[in-house]
Amino acid sequence: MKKSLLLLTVFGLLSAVACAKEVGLKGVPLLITTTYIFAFIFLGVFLLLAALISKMIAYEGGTNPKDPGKRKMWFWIFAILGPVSFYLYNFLMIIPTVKKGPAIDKFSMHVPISTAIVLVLYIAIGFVLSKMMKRGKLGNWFPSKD
Amino acid sequence: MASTDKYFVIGIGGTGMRCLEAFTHMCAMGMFDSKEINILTLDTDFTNGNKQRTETLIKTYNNIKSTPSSENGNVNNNSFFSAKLNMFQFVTDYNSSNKKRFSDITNLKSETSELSDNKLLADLFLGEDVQEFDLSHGYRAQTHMGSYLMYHAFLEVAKKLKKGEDVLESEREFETFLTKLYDAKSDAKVFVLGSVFGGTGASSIPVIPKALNDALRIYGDGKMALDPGAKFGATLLTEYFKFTKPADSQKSTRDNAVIADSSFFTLNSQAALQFYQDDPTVQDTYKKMYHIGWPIDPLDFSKGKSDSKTITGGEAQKNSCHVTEFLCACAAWDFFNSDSGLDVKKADYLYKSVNYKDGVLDFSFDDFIGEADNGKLFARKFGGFIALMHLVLSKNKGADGDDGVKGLLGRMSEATQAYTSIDSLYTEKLNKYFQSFGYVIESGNFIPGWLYQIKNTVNGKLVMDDSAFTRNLKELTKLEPGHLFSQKEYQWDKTLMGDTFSPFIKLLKDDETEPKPEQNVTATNEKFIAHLYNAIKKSPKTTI
Repeated sequence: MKKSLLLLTVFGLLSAVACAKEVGLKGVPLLITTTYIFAFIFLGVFLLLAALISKMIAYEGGTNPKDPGKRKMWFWIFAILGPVSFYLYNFLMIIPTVKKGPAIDKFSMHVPISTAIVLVLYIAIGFVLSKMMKRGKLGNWFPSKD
Repeated sequence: MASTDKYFVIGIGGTGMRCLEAFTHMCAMGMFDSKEINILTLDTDFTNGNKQRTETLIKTYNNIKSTPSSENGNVNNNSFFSAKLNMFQFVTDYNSSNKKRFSDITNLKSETSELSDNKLLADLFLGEDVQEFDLSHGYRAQTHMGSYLMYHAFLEVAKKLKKGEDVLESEREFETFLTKLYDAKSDAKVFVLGSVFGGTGASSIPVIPKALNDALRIYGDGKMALDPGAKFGATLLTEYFKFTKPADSQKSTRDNAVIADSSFFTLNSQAALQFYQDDPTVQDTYKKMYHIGWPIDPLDFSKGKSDSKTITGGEAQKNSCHVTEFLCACAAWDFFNSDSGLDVKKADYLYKSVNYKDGVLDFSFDDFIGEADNGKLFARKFGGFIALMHLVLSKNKGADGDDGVKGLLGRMSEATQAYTSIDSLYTEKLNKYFQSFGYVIESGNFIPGWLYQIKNTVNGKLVMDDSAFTRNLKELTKLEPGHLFSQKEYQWDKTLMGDTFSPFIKLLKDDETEPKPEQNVTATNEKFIAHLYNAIKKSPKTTI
């Protein structure tokens, strides 16, 4: 059941891409802007997911509780998952809609750049949030060493 | 309660020691905020298991409170372990050969004539078996002789202290206690804990004020005495336990010719109460006497033990605790915290009843130190300390080999570096204290501590929900420290999953629960305990 749902989604996405109108050189600047906006949306969504899951992980008792490690682990899972899914989204859904030639040449370099931005900002904002909320559960993302 | 009051507690005999145990736990709960209390443990048997257990507990309490500037710590306010306890010992040494029996101590043996006045007088009051039994395990319910010997033991030590020769360490401790009592003058409030139906306690309660006064007179060469304004209070604790009746074979030797028989405890209690009602010395010296009794089956100390003989004392006498002893400690709380009724010429006799129906006793938080604000204070302190016990022992596995206090400290360290100087030695000590208060798991078996022992004696409700006292190991691991009260308003905030530990840790890591100046905590260990107290106090949905 799950497998068939997944396949249906993938085919649905591919057909949407196939039907989409191709973007020419003129449309590339707008596409670049949209891509960066999407990058920020991905960044926000994955940060939110990491925060939500961290909050949902209950405090454990004992001298060696596992919960700080779990929160840290989920933060880094989303640190990888966020940029990877953003890159895949662009690779599978956006790049096929851009016309070959100068248009794709102009656009293609922005995909890795925006992906890197997602990764760097995710870590940077995560670090800031962790330090701002060091007394809370998010503090476990970057625990104080002292 | 005047701010100048000086507090003294005297625990006498095996029962008195267990009352002191309850009293110490009340101090740990924070029931005696801002008080420095001088405790005298008084027994005839220095090897007694109950005495050793209580003294070890007080020493652990003091170790927990100890700061670099004060061995027994400081007086704190609105915190756990807030009272400062100074412990002193007094042991009548009946172990040496010339002090083993009444006949040895009184030199009756040197009387050659059968018709000497001393011998005739002794025979008039005491049977031969009473004059000859081994005193090292106490007075064995022979209070007529016990009062006489205890009074003289005080005077003997006072003479020795005055001379200053061959003074033992425990006698020096008694000297310090005596001096503190003298210095307190009319501010002294002295509470005596012990039973009226057994041996040492029953023998000593009537004579303690006079014995202390006369000891001071001897020690001060007639220039010192108890201030007439010093106030004495005591418990009149009647029978609440029993043990195996001694067999004739056990009583066949001279040492054991007399052994306390618990079947006479009811009669002993009745006689004692008549005495306390009529005796003018008792009525003059005591201001308040608290009647405490037990209406249902007495606790059987011999149950589950393999001893065929009656345990007369020594290390083996390490009996479990009872809720009546806790009530005695609560009587001490009442005495120390009230000013009314202390200027009376004649002792006032106080009692309080508890809900009893169909053979079931139910204790609510209004039944220990009073109703209204006092009841709420009790609920906050008692409930809060049990919650902390479960946080340490159940939630952080401190009962089962882990260091639960270190677990909580670790959580606090995620938020603040204020407690980094607290080491494992300290957390282990505190963890051990909670084990003696609550429970410990050894080889998969549940070993009850003080709280579970007293719950065992209450067949109804003991303030909190019955689940707070579960002995089931699976239930203990899942126990929610914030759901101990049946009353919804006293329960803690919980997450969607019903977890009360996470909201508590959130509070613990919040800077609003950090120690406040009015708590009078300066050392790191004091601040750590006050911090835990603040988080627990803030946890209920409605402030208790």
